Amino acid sequence: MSADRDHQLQADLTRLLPNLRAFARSLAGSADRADDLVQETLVKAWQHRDSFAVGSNLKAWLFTILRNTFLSLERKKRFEVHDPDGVHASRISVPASQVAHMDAIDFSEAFARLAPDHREALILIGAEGFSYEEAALMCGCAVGTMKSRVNRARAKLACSLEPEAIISDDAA
Amino acid sequence: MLSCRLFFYVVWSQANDVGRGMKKVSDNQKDWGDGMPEPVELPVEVQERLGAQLKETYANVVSEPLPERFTLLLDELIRKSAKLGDGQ
Repeated sequence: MSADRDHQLQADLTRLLPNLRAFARSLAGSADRADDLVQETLVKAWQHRDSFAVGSNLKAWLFTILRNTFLSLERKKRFEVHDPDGVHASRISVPASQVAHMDAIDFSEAFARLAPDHREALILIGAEGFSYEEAALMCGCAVGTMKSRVNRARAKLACSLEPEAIISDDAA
Repeated sequence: MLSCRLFFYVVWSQANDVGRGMKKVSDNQKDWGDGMPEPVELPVEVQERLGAQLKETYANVVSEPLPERFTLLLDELIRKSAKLGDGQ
């Protein structure tokens, strides 16, 4: 790889860092864990930069690396606490029925309580502006599954939030 | 005696019917939701409002100042590549 191309990649990575951090935050939750995830993503992207085809979607490529890194760390963590079936993890998460009956929580909290695959679907489609096809490719699922995840995520968000929180200010 | 056997047969077959019906709904977490009906689509104005809140929340994180560790890391990576000769 040429030095020019390396410098161009460095500039592109720097430009996309804010988006990578925001996506990592939506997956990992805490800012510290998210930044560790971004750091690992940058190192992996750099090590495998030869496999990136110039002219293709760099952001999608980086997001895919970040997502795979996150899933790999989660799997590792799950086995470290001897929880291969996710029983322990399911005890930590908040049951959907409790979420549905909460009176007042803000948007960030409601978003944080969504399932990880719902959070990433909303971020990729709603915040980052990827097409359903691109997002499905990145997540390794069917386009219909991605559409369904977005639909379910929106419905859960709407259930978790107070009506006043999702009705337009103009209408109030 | 016959009516007693008939009674138990009816109860047993009904219990099996219930059991077969329950198996139609998977309790496997991986499948959960796949077989569930799609939620009713939200009104457009609610979707737009949720979308706006999502973008606003996301933009707050995107606009945060970048920690120095990332620029240092990228500088380090490019320096190492140059030293190893794969950036020449």
